[in-house]
Amino acid sequence: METVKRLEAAQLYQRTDPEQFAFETTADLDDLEDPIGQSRAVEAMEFGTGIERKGFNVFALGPTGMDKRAFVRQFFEGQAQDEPVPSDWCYVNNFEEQHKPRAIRLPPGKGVQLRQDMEQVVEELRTALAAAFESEEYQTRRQVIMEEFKERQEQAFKGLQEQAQERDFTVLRTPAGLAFAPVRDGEVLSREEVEKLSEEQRQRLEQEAEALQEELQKILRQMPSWQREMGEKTRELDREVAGFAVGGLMDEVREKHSDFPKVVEYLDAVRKDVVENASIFSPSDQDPANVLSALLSGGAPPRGRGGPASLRRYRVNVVVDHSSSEGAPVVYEDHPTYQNLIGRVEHMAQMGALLTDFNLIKAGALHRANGGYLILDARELLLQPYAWESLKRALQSGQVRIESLGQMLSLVSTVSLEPEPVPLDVKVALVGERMLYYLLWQLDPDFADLFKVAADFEEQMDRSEGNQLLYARLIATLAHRDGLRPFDRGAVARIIEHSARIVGDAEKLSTRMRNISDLLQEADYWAGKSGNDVVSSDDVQRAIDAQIYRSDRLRERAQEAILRETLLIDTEGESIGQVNGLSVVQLGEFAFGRPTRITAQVRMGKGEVVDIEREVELGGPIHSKGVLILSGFLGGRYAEERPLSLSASLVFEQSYSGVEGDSASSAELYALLSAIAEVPIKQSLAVTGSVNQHGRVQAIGGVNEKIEGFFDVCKARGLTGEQGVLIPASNVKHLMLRQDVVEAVSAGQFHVYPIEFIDQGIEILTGKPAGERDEGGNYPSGSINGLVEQRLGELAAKRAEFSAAAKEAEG
Amino acid sequence: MSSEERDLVVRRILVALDASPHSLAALEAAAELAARLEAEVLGLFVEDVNLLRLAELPFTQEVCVSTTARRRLGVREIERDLRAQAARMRRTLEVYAERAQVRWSFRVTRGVISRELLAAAAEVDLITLGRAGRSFVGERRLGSTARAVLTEAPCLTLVTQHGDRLRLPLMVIYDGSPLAQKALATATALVQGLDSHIIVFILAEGGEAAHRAKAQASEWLQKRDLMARFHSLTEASVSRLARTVRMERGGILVMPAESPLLQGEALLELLDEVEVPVLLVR
Repeated sequence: METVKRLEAAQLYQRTDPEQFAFETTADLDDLEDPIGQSRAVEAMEFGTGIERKGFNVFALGPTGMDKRAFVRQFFEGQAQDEPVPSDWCYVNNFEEQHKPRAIRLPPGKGVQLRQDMEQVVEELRTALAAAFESEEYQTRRQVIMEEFKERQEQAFKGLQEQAQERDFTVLRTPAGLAFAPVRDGEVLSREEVEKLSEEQRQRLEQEAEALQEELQKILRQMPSWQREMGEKTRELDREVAGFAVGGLMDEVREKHSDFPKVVEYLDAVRKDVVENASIFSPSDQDPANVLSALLSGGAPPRGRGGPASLRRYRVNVVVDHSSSEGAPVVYEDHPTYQNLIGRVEHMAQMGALLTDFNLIKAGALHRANGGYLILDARELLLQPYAWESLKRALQSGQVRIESLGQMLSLVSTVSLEPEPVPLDVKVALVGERMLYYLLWQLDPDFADLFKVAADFEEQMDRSEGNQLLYARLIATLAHRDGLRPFDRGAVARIIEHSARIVGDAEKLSTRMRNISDLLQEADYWAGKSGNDVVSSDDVQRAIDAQIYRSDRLRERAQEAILRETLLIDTEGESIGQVNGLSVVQLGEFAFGRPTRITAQVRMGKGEVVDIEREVELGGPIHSKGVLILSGFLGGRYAEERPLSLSASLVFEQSYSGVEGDSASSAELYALLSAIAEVPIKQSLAVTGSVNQHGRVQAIGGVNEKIEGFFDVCKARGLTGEQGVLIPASNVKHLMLRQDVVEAVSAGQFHVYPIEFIDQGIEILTGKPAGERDEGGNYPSGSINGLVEQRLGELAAKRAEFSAAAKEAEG
Repeated sequence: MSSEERDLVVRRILVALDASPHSLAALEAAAELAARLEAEVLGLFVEDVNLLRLAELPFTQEVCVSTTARRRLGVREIERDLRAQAARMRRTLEVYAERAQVRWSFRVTRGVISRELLAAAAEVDLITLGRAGRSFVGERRLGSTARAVLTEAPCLTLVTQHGDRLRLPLMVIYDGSPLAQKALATATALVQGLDSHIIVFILAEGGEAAHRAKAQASEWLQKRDLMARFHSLTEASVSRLARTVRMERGGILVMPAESPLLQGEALLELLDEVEVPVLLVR
């Protein structure tokens, strides 16, 4: 068996040579156009933006801190600037059904123009109509109508009066009406005089009075219809005069907008309405004829609502105005509530009642983004009640319909509006975590129909030489964007190295923009503190150190506990059944390694390995799996032909919280082997790595932190040159160790052993050969494997004896 | 001051009050004139005896104007109604008089209206009344009472209609007769101290007469430093005169109660057609 070669210092840290860069500082570099390392997402975005089919909306998924939104936005903006500016949208009054305002689509900029034209028309109408109604001609004509009515009345009464006179009667005004009285010499006959008359004369008087009264009734019954007729005539006149006054003004506007049939239709409706309701333009006009005609017609608005308030109906509410837009809109709605998305209808309080009209319709993000692009944060969207549903409905139906939530849920029944829906043509991009994407995919059947394009963001990229140069340009771009000092190439190299460390892989680089840009800003801060014009690698290092120091408290406490021997960790000497394991504690973005003592105890038993962590439910399932693999390994290797007659227990000493993961399984196995073979293990070493049933050591995560965790303890106690860490050989490519570790290794004060098989590890830990089976299938005596097999054999024999004795005792 | 001017002594103004809008105009005019001439206003409300008699008759019925329903009238009901009207008129008079700051009194009599008014007119210098009484229809012609008073009243008579205002300038009809001279004098007295001119309509049978009349009037006015504008109307019809008056849009039309050129019905016809307050001088 070959001996394990300790790793060279160069293998512990993949440096980026600043000399490979041709530039001096990032100021010499051009900005990057595209994000780096996101070719998959870029292609998805290109496809998603390019394809103009229903349902091909984009979901940009990836972890936070990737700058996904900025990426999507940049992409959309690039696309949008060459696209046509979409239409303006206006809401106008629907004169037939007031509660259903009409939507009018107009070329960009025309919406505001229509609004201004209407404002001007209304203003001009006020003067034009006032002038028309004050004109001599109108007044005369109305006078004529009134006179005609009066004359008619007079004629009727005069006739009646004449009839009365002929019959010697006079008409008298009584409290509530009129009465006829017989007269003689201009005086009404008194009762006595009437009584003196003959029966015949009296009857004649009575008959004549009766006839006159009937005649009067007939006339009076006709009065209302005459009055109506007069009202109708006055109204007709009003209409004619208003129509003439309005005509010229409206024709002008109509001509101007004659290319748009819907506007023309609207303007015609306005014209009709103005003519019908000309009186609302002159609120001060208290002309009784108008009041009368208004009352008689029953349709005109009551005078109390006259004035500017009722002129609101001729306004134009431009909800989407693209008069100053260039290209298609790209909208990011940072607060995607139901109403902010699809728009809303506001109310205003008037005399204690809530009123609304089309002027209070407010556009939502979908209106603003119509004809362009809308970016939403998936989590924000899903957090808002009904927002997700409303977005789906709009995308499915291809139109935006403004409905108030209260209306939708039938919570309120105040009169509200039903604005005409607006056709929707928008590309939506949701930005969110992967989990949300997969959950939506799984749980929402509509999701797959509406968001057919997934732009999956990569959080790491290869650390090739070309990519490192791209990375340098990325740093230049970010520095430029944030207005930072230029970074010299040393600083760039250090950042690239740190980026590899962030992803925990010497051959990869992080594409999480947040980490990088944070580091750049902090390094810039330190450079400023030191009065440097250019950020150097020292500034970067200082920023990294400061970052670590700020999140370092718990690690320091753990180290301190070890150094003060509250937590028992040996870094020298030997002991049986005891090994230093390594675990990683993750706190937010900061992780640190911590040595843990793992011990094993063996005795005779039925072949089970008891995981104490699991027994007390402190161990997770993966950890238990690792431990069960150990019994598989033991049984398979040493007890093929006899029962595995041992009972072993394993424990993480002084661990009071959960243990998860199988990265300690090789350490557990070493402890177990040491306990069985009764061979001590060197405490100057620490172990990490998982193991399979054949004894092969497999890769684990957080290798850098683990090594540094043990190194820190050793360094604090003084490096002996004996100390080191056993790591899986497959983890060597992940090494990006701290500088002081690398220095200690190159000075021979600390060692890192890449391990492939358990046998290699146990040799290093015990200093004894592991031993291989000879031709006879036996392990050499004195080798670890030999000792283990021998011990297991003894245990099996004892157990056989024991059970025979037990049977005898029973028998 | 000449003797003619001293003739215009108005101490008491009688105003005939029924509840009609025309009579309110009369009241307003009375209060205004009283204030200007330092006179006293006497309000008179006449309970129409004809109405009371009517109520006593067994066969007459009231026809309600708004519903056309018929019903019997009771004497007490009529009396109540008349009392209420009188009370209202009293209050109205009070308001107007206080506003114009003139002395006032109010009286109610019962009888035939024109007769009662004429009787009361004998004791005053000026009587004002509306051109027609209460009526449901838009009566524009002179009412019977107004006709009676206009033709028979012994004093100055002012007839108004609803909406009238006593404006300036005054208008005078002048035909050279002594009564016309008196009318001119009255008008002059009324505008005394006010910065206004007078419009004079010269009525004459021929150009010669017109010229003479104009010269007379002109001389009279010049003596009193009054500016005047003249309209000479020879052989004019009543309707032409009325049209000329209407076009001038002046204030009160002051005219002689009798004129050779405006005899009998012609005078009443003119009053029917001009739409300004008319002051008859006799």
